[in-house]
Amino acid sequence: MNRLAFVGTLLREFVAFARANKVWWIVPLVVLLGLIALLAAASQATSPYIYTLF
Amino acid sequence: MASASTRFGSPTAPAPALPALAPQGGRPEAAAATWSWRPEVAVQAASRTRLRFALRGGVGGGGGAILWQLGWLHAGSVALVLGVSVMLAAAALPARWLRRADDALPGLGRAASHVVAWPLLFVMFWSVFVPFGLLLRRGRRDPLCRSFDATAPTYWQRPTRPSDPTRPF
Amino acid sequence: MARVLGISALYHDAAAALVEDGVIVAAAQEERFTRTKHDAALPRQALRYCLAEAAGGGGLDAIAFYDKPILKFHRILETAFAVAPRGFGAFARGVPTWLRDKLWVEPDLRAMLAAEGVPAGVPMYFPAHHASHAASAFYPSPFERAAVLTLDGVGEWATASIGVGEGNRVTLREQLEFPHSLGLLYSAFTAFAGFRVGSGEYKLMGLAPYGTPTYAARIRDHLLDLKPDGSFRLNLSYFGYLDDQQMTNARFAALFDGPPRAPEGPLTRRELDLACSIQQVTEDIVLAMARHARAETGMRHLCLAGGVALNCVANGKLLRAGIFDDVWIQPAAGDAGGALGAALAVCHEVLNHPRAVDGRTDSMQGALLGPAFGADSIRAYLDANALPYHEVPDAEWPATVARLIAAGAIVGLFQGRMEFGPRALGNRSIVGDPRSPTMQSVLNQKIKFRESFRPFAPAVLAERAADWFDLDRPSPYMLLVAQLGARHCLADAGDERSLDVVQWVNRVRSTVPAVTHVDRSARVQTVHAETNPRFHALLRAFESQTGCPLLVNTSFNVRGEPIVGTPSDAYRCFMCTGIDALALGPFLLTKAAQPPWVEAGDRRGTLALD
Repeated sequence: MNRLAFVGTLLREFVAFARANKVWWIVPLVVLLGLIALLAAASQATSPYIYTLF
Repeated sequence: MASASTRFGSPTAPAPALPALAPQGGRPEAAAATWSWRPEVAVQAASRTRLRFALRGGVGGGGGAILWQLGWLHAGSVALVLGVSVMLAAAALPARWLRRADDALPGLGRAASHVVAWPLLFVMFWSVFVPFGLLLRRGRRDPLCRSFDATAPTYWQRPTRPSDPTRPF
Repeated sequence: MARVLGISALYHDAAAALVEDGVIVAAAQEERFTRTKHDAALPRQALRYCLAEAAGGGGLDAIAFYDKPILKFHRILETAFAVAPRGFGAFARGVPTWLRDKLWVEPDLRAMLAAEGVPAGVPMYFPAHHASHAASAFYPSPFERAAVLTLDGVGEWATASIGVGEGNRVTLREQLEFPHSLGLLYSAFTAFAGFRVGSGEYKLMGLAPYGTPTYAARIRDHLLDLKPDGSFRLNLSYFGYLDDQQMTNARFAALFDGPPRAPEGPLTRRELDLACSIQQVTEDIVLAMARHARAETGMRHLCLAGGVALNCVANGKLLRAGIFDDVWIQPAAGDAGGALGAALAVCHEVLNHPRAVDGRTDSMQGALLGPAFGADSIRAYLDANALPYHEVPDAEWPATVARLIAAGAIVGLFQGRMEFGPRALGNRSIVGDPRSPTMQSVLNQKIKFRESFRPFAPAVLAERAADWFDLDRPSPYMLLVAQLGARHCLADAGDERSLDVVQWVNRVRSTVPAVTHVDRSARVQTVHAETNPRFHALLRAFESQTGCPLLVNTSFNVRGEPIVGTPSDAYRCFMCTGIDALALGPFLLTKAAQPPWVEAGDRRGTLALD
């Protein structure tokens, strides 16, 4: 749950990093990877005993 | 320690470093807080494991009941049976077995996430990393500086990235 | 009060450290609590312990994590671009760990701290990996100002850095960047010689004296381009760590006469010579870097940290080279020490706390920064389990234990605060008589269950160190290798290189054979009455009984297991090995008096080999 609240902060930090180091390509890449992570996490959470809840 | 410092010191070298004086505390209560050998701790841990399993079974069974209500009879009954058996297992099985199952669960979830993530990463690697990587190489951009430079006097470099301790980059 | 909690985690050795107003209050590695060697998980138990040591309640002022996750992730992605279309395996294995854990350090750590009762809203800082190492090297050092050299595998991008510490600031001026890394080069040879990366480096270093540097020229000519100032680039076409999960590749194997040694396979002359060669090249690079640091900074003192700084043979050479007047090495030079460095960096550089230093003493407190168990809680444990013991009054303790050792017993020593860093320094140690010609093989085979070529280190009374070793300064953290004094060596036995390694190491070549390596060197620990009075008193007693002010000192664990943390860990290790007696705080337990151990038997099957 903590992580969910942190998603916005993490994205902001990535954008700030991209600006500071002129590596804008990292932003779309991170968004893509984030979607993959979301799917993976969903499959993990719905695996038989939703252990992450505990 | 006078003898030691005279022995170590040479006339030209400055006095070498000695370890700090006064061996410090280390509070016994702090140490005790990290040590759980007592049998009652094991009993507590076991009952927590049982409770966790019972909750899991309850959630699974409850979900099954809802599915059944919604008309998903097959999935619902499977989940219901699974949930009830987990609850029964939580009550009846030795704590040792439950703990072992508990340790295996994260692995199970991880395996599931791998199965999902792997093909997606495969697609991403070949559709993004390979073409752009090859393009960059054609443009002779190498962030890893993999070639030798015989003319360079040094490979030391000034830190160029901004470094602010308040940021994670 | 400025109270900072430092954390290192998710790569090698997770650890936590607590600093109050620049004073190190507590530091411990997570592996000691979880009993998983090199445990990298967020250090829940270590941070719980550190918080429990905080004096007089009150909250935390800052949390310091020892590296910059986003910058490190950037390196992973850049590397994937740079090696594509190769490297999918590394990508598919590496990226998920980032998405799953490593990018979520902040919320996960905050959740963990909240569970320990730390209120939300404590600011969190991210000093860079090498800034953390540099801080761990400079701030606890005894120097007012000094050059700083950090060397490891890799942090975010930096693999080595040179800087200056002065007052309450450390400024890093120059660095080498990934993939050009001395730590990774050494680890590549470690893996190639059949040892585990991250823990087998010590073994490779221990093997070096058996070999001749026949491969050194090949390493210099083919593997790297070394500049006179110690900076270098590696020829990545010989290494696998960019695009593979292996450290080295087929080309590397072809250059070094065949495939890598299988783990636990027989050691051949090639591995001995490889170890010797890479050790020599490493020493040359470290010395060249140190010369450069001296020239660049103009400083007379050097502080050292990062995993490569645990190479005590190179450290000894660096000291004797006289490039700097004095060198101080962070005893927890590896990633665990990053927790301490991060906390110190934030305390001084962010919270602007002044640094107190007297120019003579370091502030590591003998690296004794972990839990200290009270006699009462140990007694409660012994009584509850009906374990036979007898209590030895403090005044008699040194002579009693020394008598056992002098009679040939191997004694487990458990007392005071646990050591921070990879070395046991007398508080979680196994000690024995260094004069015994069979001690080394007995310790290796019956106690530690490890390879018989590995030497043991001597603990020596600080005031006697110069009588025994070619060492003109303290080495309280076992980080310097020095030669045994000539008058303690026996006559040369001629060329021993034709001998089998085991026969070779078991040759008696000094009056203290158990702690003399084949080249008559030893990894010395000087024991000081100020930092460890009890261990010092034991050495004094042993000297007065035998005339020998040395003891064999090896960590209290078996191979593959972390050093014992609690009295129950110590008891289990005592019962599962050939240790004869256990000094558990003020209590003495002898093996013969103990009831049979339920887990009894050979533990070798239950632990992963290191």
